[in-house]
Amino acid sequence: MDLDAFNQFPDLPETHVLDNRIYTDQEIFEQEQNKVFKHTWLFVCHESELPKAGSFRTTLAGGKPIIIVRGKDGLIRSFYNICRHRSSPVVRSDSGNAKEFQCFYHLWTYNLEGACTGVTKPDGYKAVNLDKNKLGLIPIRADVIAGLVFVCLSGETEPLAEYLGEIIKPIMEPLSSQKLEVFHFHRADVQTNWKLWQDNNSERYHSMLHVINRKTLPWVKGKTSPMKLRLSNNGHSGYWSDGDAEVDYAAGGYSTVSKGVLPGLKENEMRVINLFPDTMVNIRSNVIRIDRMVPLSVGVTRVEWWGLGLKAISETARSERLKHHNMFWGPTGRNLGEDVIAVEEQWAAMKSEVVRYSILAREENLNPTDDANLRAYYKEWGRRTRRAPHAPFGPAVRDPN
Amino acid sequence: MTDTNSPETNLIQELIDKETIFTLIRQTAAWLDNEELELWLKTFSDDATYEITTSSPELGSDMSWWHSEQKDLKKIINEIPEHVRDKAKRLHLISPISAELNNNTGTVLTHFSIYRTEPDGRSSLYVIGKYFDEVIKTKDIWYYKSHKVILDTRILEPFTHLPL
Repeated sequence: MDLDAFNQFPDLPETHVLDNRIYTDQEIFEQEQNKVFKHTWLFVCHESELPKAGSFRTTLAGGKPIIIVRGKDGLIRSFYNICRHRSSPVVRSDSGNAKEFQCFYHLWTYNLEGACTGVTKPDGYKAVNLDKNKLGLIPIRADVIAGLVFVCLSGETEPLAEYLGEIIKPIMEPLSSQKLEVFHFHRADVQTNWKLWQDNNSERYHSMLHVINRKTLPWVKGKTSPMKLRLSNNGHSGYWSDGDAEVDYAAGGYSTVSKGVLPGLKENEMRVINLFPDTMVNIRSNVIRIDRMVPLSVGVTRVEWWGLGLKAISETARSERLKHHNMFWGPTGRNLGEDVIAVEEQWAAMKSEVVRYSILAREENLNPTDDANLRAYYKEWGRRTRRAPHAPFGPAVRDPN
Repeated sequence: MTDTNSPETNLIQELIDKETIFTLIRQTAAWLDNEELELWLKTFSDDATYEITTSSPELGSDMSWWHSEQKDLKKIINEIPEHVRDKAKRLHLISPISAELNNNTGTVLTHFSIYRTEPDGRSSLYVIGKYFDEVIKTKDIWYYKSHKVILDTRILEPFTHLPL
């Protein structure tokens, strides 16, 4: 059978079609690292993970090793986690607290503000007048909104608040009016392209994949819904209601887990925002899930998951929140494992190149299962990569800006 | 005539109890491997809890990935067949380490590993960890009062809908 006969461009608007090679092509993957991840603000951790001066986290951003640290002045800064001497990693732990950073290899030291404060056996450099003041850790832009710590590898990208725009508003009160704690963090190397995880987080059309959702999300099933997609600048999107879309926990027999809502939310309310390119904040009543992605290769994505909630609550409320979180999410969660299987098997099949195009053609007046948010996301992806998502090897996309 | 309170009799009873508890733990694992989850559930006392924990070096603390009371486990295991889930077969390897008994209660430490065999026949190590269990004897039968899985493995690939 000739596959070409089945792979004619669908009789749909170009905006409603994706060429699946955007998920499987090595060249596109490498270009994304430069054109997307180096020029966007990337969520890296929650500020509560850096509770005091010297608290640090390490991770990858845009494929580069970085440190995020709270300084003695309380500010959160970020640096590449690479010694200026011979390019060894300066910090080898995932997290901790340090008075200063010392490279383990030749013992050069840096203070919490990144300045190089010590060069081992400095007399050996006198002949060449080595100036350690010019050899501090290389800084990265870092900023915090609603307790979410972001970094940006580019000096040209707009400030974080401008980059996020209006999409951050529905989570500001739940995330920033009281102190939060991170009670869950885990990661996995998912065998899929990073964008397929973002797609999975963004689209509600797949939500009936999940047993629990079939029982508890009545507003996904109807033709009209109080839950609406919201489209924002820079390819960000979200979905929330203005009050009427509640998760029906009782219908599924899961009562009690969702008690004790976060500030600004109604009982059993759900709000989700998806930030371009790689982050989701998903709030269910009393618990927050945050995803970020670290693309390791075209077909392997390290996904990191956080679970957060209010810090000042009773042990009973903490226990219920944990059950609520683990019921859906985490490595034993009922929904998350299904999502991982879906995107891994999807990518494996996609890589066979039997089917060339994906269809993003649902138009439902921004009901939750509308594809409008995916279309907006890929429009932004195309603007940044200069590739048309429906024809990535055709003429370059012009940047309207 | 047998002295039911003699040191020898008590020692024999303790050895019998320990072997019975270790058999319970081995049998528990076998039922999980065979997905005989109703039988697995019957190993819990009415007020028992089941928990999976691990640690997070990123957070510098322990985490609980699954915490259920016995009354909630039945609903969860009944819904497992409805899930899209890992198709691999699992095999536990169990290594009893210690059991400290005090009359009709006790604490038990067991090391374990679980291997996965995928439908195409490939096998791989899935997780390793410890069971730290509190057990209770009721009407001469030992049950879990607390069945706690403490994982060394922190990256599960794939995730699990089944208890471990």
